[in-house]
Amino acid sequence: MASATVPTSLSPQSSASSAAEPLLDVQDLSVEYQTLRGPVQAVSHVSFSIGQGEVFGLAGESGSGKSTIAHAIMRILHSPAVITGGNVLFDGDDVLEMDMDGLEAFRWRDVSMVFQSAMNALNPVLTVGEQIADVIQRHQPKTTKQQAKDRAAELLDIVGIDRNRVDDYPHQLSGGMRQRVVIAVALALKPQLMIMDEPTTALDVVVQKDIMQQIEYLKKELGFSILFITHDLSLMVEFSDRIGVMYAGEIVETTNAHELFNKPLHPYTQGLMASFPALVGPKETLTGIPGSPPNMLEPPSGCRFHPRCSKAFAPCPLQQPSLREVEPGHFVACHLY
Amino acid sequence: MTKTVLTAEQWKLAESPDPVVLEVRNLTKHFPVGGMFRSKHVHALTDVSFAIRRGEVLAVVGESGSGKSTTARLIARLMEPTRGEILFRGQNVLQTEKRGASLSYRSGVQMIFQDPFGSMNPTHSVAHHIMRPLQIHHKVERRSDLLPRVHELLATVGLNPPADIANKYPHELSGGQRQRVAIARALAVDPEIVLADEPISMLDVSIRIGILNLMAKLKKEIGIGYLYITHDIASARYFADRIMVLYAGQMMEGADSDELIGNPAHPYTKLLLSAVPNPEVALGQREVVARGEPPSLIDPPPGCPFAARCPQVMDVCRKVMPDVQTIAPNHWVRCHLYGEASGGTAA
Repeated sequence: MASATVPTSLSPQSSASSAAEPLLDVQDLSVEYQTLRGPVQAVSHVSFSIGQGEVFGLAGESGSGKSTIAHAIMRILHSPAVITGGNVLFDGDDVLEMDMDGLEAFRWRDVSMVFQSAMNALNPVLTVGEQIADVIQRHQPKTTKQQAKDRAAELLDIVGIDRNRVDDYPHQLSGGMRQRVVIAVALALKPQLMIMDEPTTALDVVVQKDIMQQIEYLKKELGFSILFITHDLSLMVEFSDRIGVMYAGEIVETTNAHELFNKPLHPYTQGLMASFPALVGPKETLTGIPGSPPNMLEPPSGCRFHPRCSKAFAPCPLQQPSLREVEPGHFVACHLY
Repeated sequence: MTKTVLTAEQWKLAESPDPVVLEVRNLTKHFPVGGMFRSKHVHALTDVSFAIRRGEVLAVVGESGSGKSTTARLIARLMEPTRGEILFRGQNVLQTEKRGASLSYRSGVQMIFQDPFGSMNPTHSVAHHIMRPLQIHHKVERRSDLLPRVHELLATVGLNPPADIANKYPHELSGGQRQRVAIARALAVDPEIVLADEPISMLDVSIRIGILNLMAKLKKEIGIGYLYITHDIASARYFADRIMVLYAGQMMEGADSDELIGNPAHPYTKLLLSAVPNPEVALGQREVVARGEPPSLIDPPPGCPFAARCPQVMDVCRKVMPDVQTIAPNHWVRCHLYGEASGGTAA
């Protein structure tokens, strides 16, 4: 991968927490959208944790609540979304209890975020260098303008862009390069956790591969953790250490990436796996999953997946299955197990 | 200019009893850009030629800006090509229908768009969307036959119960259901060719396969031929009989789907295949074939557009665009690595 060595000045601050304690611990998080037609339970009792240097993937279709979780962790949910329960512990501190000053320090310095189609979020009338420097100066007011600009150039170098392009405007860069700039902005304050919400969805596969390899390299060099959100299960399995599969606001299965790929247990995960045509191997007729994701205003009773599930039986419409450990480290919410 | 008319014979179409329905030759679109005098041109599509038989699926794959959508829009006659020929049932429609597509061409060649949310009028019911083409193209004899035909079409695309769906409005349907309505609307006029421009890329992953399976069923049962435009080469392998790879508006390689994916010849095709996420190989272990991004399409230099990124680039690549070389039955490539000029291994 990229041969440029990463300066030690960019390594994340050493964490005081012990290795056993997760960096991010989301406990029983629930988020509701209060719409005119009634409340929508976008996220229901979701729990997961991310360790130091770990990549945790949240997989699921649109409307499954993945992005809502990311926004809840950053405390950037807007009305009508309301966090109705749970805790988000970062390094032991509850993010949901933080005041504005606490959040100011938490956001971007501890946790940064690369948004979906973030490459369109750059300001067209500022150079990319100014936009990176802006983040640095906002959070580190003692930095001089020149220092910030030098850091911006250094950051461009790290994400694989020629540092001489620090004075370029966004329109002078390709989509892939703009996305790299956004990653540079996210790296600017050496965060310990990066939330990446569909970071490459709008990009071509070739560019996607380059950027994902760059992120993997940076993660190894700098040691940050990643919450990785995508609907592309193949990319997710390839990139993540552990994965949580979401359906209609709930995590229905969670385990390490290889186990999930080789032995998916939940019928929804199995259906998702059967939705991607393979590039190699025998050509099989795929079935996908019948039906459509549910209307969250009136979610189905019992297990929310049961109307689309080919293995549904008596208890499924009646009782909501809870997430249980059916094999070591492999949790599933399904009445079959 | 380069003479790269890829005829039906070169695709070995003669071996099939099915007739060629649509053929394009040297299809080219250059858009004028910049300044008052518009002296520069974006070379969106250059000399693209292919043919589609009855009941056959040709996939066109490539990255954004490769000219895939331009190809479909030219054939749908949503814009006029700079040059080239479009032959529908053997007739050069650009000559015979100079003022725009005739009713019979528009009923023979239909298009399905990427965005099922944008391709429908939110103020009209599903029934209205399917009745309009039935009326305009005089596909039913009596007014009283309209609604039964609408219901029949909705049932064909798997929307049940059809009477309920017909009364709904677009916002009441999911993305997958809307795309099925779009397919029913295309079917209403009995097309022979359907131009499907990324028909599944905006849908939820769990319902994408259902749409591809539906299109495959219509191919088998009604004999519809498809131009399937996609950036997802795995879905092209799943659905298409043949695959053609475009890069920067130029044809690069084409073959039967399994042949193209199993034995890619062009360095660009290899790059594209290596970039597809593969859960069985860790990201870091994947071979890096080439990097960089596609070139600018504004008045490009001569030679192969992939030369700047190609790991096997030679001097000749920067000067001359290679011609079509057939390297195996039903497998051609445009690359100087193959053919006499390089002393390569042309079969």
